[in-house]
Amino acid sequence: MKKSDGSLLRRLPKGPNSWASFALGLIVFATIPEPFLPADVVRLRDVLQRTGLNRADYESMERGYYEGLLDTVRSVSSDSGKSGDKPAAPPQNEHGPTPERPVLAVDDMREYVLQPSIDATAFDTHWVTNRLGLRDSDYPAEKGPEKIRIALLGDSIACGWGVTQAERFEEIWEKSLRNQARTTGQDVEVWNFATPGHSPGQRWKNFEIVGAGIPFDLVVYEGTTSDPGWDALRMSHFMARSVGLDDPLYEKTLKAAGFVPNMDPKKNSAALRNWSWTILQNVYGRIVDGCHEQGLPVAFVLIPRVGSNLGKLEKIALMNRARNAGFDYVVDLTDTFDDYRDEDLAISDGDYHPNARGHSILAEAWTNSLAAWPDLKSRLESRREQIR
Amino acid sequence: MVETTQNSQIKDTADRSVGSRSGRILPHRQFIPVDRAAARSWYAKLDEGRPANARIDARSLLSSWTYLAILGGLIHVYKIEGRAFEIMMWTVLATLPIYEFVPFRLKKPVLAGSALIAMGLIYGAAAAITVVSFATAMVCLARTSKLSWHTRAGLITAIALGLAVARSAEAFAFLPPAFWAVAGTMLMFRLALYMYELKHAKKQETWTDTASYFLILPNWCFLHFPVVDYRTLQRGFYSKEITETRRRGLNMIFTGVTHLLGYRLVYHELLITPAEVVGTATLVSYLACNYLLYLRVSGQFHIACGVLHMFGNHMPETHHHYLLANSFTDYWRRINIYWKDFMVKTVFNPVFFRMRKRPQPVALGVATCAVFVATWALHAWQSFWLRGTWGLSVTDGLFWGILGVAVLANVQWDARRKPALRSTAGPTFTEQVRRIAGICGMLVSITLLWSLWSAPTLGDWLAMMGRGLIPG
Repeated sequence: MKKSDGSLLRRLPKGPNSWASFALGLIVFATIPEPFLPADVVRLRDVLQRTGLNRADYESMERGYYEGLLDTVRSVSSDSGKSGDKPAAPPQNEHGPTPERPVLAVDDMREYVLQPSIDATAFDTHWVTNRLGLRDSDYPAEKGPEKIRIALLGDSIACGWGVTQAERFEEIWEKSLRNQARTTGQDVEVWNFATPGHSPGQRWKNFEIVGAGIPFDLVVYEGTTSDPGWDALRMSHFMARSVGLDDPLYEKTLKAAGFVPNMDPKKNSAALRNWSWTILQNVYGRIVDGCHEQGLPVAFVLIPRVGSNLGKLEKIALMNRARNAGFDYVVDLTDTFDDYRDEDLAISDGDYHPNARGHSILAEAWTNSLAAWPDLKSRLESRREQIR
Repeated sequence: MVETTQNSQIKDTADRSVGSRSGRILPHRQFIPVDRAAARSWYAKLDEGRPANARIDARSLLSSWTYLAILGGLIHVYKIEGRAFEIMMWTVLATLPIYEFVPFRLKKPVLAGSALIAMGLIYGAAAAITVVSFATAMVCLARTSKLSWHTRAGLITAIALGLAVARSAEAFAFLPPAFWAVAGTMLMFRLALYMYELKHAKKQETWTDTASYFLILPNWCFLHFPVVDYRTLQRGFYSKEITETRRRGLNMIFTGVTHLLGYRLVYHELLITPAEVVGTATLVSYLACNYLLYLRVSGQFHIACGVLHMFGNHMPETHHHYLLANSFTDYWRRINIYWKDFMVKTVFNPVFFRMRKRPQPVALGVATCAVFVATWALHAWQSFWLRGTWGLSVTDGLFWGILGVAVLANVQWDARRKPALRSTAGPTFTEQVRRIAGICGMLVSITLLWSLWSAPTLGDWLAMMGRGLIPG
């Protein structure tokens, strides 16, 4: 090196230039719009930016929650002396809170349901259920023409795990719809069929059984990015007891997979591992067919979990499956929490369930997006046209 | 030329246009001049003892600050390690310029103050006040000259055990939930090291040094923190030229960030569950990825140590290429070096020297066993304070036991082996092959041990190994 170059180098600010350039490059990489990048590179970037738990740990955490729920089921079952042959009756207690057993074992593919007519606190949540075992108000079964009745199928987020009933996004949405409908002398009811831990297929089955014979106008299916694989996971358990093998939800897939049930859930899980997406597609298809058979328009709304747990490409695949299944209206709300810190929206550290603030933010996005649903809009506005 | 009067009115003797013709001082001229000489002497007094390594260099500071801001941007864009870490980084960026220009004697108090502010921002004022109050009380107890050292040690131990019982019984519900983990990370090991220094130091440690030891800024976002040695921290303070120290720190922070990004790749994309191990390929994949989850620990430790460097603390590295260890003793020396030093100081050396009249293999054996028993127990102690559970299990005991036996055997072997003559020509081909074989062997051993440690039960681990190794 020449002396003049040496003196020039000495005058320049010294520093770790190579890694700083690499760091700046990574920052720029994070900002390049997706259309300019190959799919694999988008996936890599998405992985590097992903926070929260991976899929296995989320499932493990869900198992932790729902093992707790199922433990209460097992304790109820053992009290009745039978291993789930028939649902145990709720404890006879008309006054004050019931013992901490918000669930009942059932011997169909739902595995368990919320106990009807309870007022109890369990898992840091206050559970008040109606006569049908829904965590919702007690609505009369009959429905007049001025009433718009919507069924919501969902999971623990829709059920309001970790928050009060009034704080749930569904309650906020229902209130907003009621205010809107009141101007035209109508009423709106949103029946919340969501049960914590139920897979997409189980959510439909719960609606099929509990909602049988009850007139509805619309159905909304709430999904999350954990839908893929959830049915396969639950199937591995209840099919170990030979339950649900011939259900239309799963029949097609089981035939295609050549599935032979085993008493060991782990073996069932291994056999179904590569069929998760096919199972989901067929479940979505069955939900749509089931609704259309009853003349019910059905919307699909994908909501976020606090902290991302599914890559962008998987999310696109999930949305495509919903569209291919034939949902009448498909909405993606997974970016609703993007501008907020996970710690500010989760019910506790590392949990994906939104707290009251999270539900409030979700309710606003939910209400705004479903306001554009033609089937809902037309029902709300039809009476206004009549009045005019 | 200006002279001041008792009424602070200025009479400019040189400028006749100052006042009105009546001699009254105009308002815009009425000021109290700064006594620059007094101010300079105040600064100089507090700046006494500033070493050459700590000379103020605005350009070097700007350069370091800029590089740190780039890293801060990277951390923000990739949302690395969450809110607490981001708060810590912004606190470092805000503190650094102030820290550079304060008098030398105020540097440690300023750093301790910024650590307190960061604690409040991250955990809330209530938790910060409770933790600091409790820690101050414990440190006062440790320092009091009214009791003998052994009495103080006994009292501190009793208080720690009493709190552990209280925590297990979920007593003291009025304490903020964050109190246990934050107070735990501050005191669970550092108080023991501080007591060690109080026993052996020739003079009382100053409150400034003490506060700077317990209030370590990066600790609040990394509760699982390296066991920083008191004397090493004090000796490392501006022990090297500040620019060089900061550059080293920036390199460490960057290395840590790459470890954390690598961890994400492994955790979200590559790691499979034990249930998905169905053959040799999936077994190898699981073993490797499960071990590589340690990148999160090494990443956090690199960053924590790097942040200390930004404030002039020239510290030893926390890990040294642990994936390249070629023997169990080499592995022990490379992974979590601060823990190794902590064990050597507080367990190995005292036990070894107490046994020095015995044959060396016996002394080495007993001291090594003591280290691994202490390591197993103190890991459980750490888990209790940070997570609320002891984490003790059969697989946990087996992990430390097997590792301890392996290190013990290696130590005995090393003690008997003649030291190899170092050739000036470099390692021979045979030596290189032996080294590579050693590295491969260590990787296999450690990944197996790590998978055992991660398994919920021994039966689960054996079942997984069976599925992986036995075809069909």
